[in-house]
Amino acid sequence: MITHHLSDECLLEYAAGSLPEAESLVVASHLAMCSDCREQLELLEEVGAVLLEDGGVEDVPGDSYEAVMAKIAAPLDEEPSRRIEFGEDTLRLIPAPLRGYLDDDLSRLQWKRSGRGIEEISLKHQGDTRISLLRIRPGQKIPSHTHSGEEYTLILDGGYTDGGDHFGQGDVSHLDGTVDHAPVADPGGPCICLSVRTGPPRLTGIMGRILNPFIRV
Amino acid sequence: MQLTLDVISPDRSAITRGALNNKLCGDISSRGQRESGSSNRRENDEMKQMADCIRAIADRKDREAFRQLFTFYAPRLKAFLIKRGAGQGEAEEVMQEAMTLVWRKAGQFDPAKASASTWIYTIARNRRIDLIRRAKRPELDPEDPFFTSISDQPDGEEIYTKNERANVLRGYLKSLPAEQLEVVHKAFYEEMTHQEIAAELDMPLGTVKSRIRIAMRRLRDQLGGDEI
Repeated sequence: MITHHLSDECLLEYAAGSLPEAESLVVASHLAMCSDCREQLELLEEVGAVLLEDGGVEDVPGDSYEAVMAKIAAPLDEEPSRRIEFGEDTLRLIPAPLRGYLDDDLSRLQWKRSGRGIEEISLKHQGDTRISLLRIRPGQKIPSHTHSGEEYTLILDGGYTDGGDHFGQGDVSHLDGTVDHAPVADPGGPCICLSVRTGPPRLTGIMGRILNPFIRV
Repeated sequence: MQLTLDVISPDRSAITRGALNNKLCGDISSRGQRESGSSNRRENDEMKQMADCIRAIADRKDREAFRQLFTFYAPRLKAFLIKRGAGQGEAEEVMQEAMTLVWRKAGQFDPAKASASTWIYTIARNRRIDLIRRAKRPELDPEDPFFTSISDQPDGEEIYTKNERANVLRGYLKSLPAEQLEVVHKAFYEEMTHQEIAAELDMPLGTVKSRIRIAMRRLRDQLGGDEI
C-alpha cells in the first residue's frame, strides 16, 4: 500500500513537460507503481489537452502537410537498440523507466560501498545532479544529514523509517535542504531505493562530522 | 517511393478497440442528451471524429483522416509551442515531428484510455522535450508488469468517457478563481516550474504550491464528486 505520493506541483511539471530528467525519472518510476498518481497525471494531461485545443491557432505554411507526408514515407532510422536480458529479480524490482538507466542486469552490476552499511550504483552524474541506486543494510541508521539541493527517494524494495514516518515499496520522499533527517532501514532485508540528489549533501550531527570526508549519502 | 506499409499493420486488437469505441460513443450520445448542452455535444462529436480519424489511420492508413487531424491540430500545436517560447521554425519542426508520430503510433491509440487531444498533447510534449530541451525523457511503458502487479487496483468504472471529461474539465477550468488559473496557465503555456512562477509573481513558494494544490483539488472533486 503506497502512502507517500508525488506532490501536485511535481505532477503538474511532469504533465507540462518542464520537470528535469532526473526528477522525471523518479516521477515516471513512481507512476509505474502507483495507479492513484497515474490518475492525477491523467487529469493534468487532460488539462494540457484542453489548453491545447483552446489556446489559439498559428498559421501553418501551405507545404507543411506535404512535408509531414514525406517524413512519414521516409524509412525510419532505427536506433541501435541495446537489448539487455533482465532477470526475474530486476523485472520484479525495477520499473520500466528506470530499467532504461541500467547498463546490465542488477545481479551483474557492481555495488560500491558508499558509507557504513550503504552501497551505491551510480546511474548518472551530471553537474550537481546524481542519480543512483542505494542498497541499505537491514537495520542500518543513516547518519543525520541535509542536502544543499533536493533529495528524492523512491523505495524499490524493503523500507525505512524516517522521523516516525514509514516508507515502503513504491513510496516516494521529496526533501529540500531544510530537512535534517536520519532514516533507519527496516530489519529483515536490505532496503533498495532510487535516489536523486541535486547538490551535495551536508552532514550534520557528530557522526556526520566524523564521517564527512568518507561518506556520500 | 517506399511507403510505410511496415510501420503499422492493422491487427485484431485494433478491431476490438474499434468495437469498444463504438460502445463508448453510444454512451456519449445518450448521456450527452441528458446532461450536456448543445455546444458540449458538438465538441464531443468533434472529439469522437478525431478519435475515429486516428483509428482510420491505424486500420487502413487513411490519408484523408490524417489530413483532417492535421487541419485541426497542426495550427493548435504550433500556437502552443510558440507560447512556450519556441521560434517559428522550431515550432514548425516540432509540430511536423509530432504529427509524423501521430501517424506512426496511431495503432497504440486507445480511446478508452485517452481522448484524441490528450493523446496528441502527450506526443507533442514528449517530442518537444527530445528536440528543444534535448533531454532524455524516462518513458512509462504500458506493458510494464508493474502496472498490473504492484499497482493496487485496475482503472475503475468511470462515469464520464474521456471525451466528456475534457468538456467537464473545460467548464471547471473556467470557473477556477483567476489566481489559480494563472498558475495552471503559466505551468502549461509558459512551461514554468513552480519556483519560476513564484519568482515571477514575487510570491513565496508556499503560496504557489498551495494555489496549485487547491486548483487540483477543485478539479478532482468536481470530476470525482459527480461519480458518488
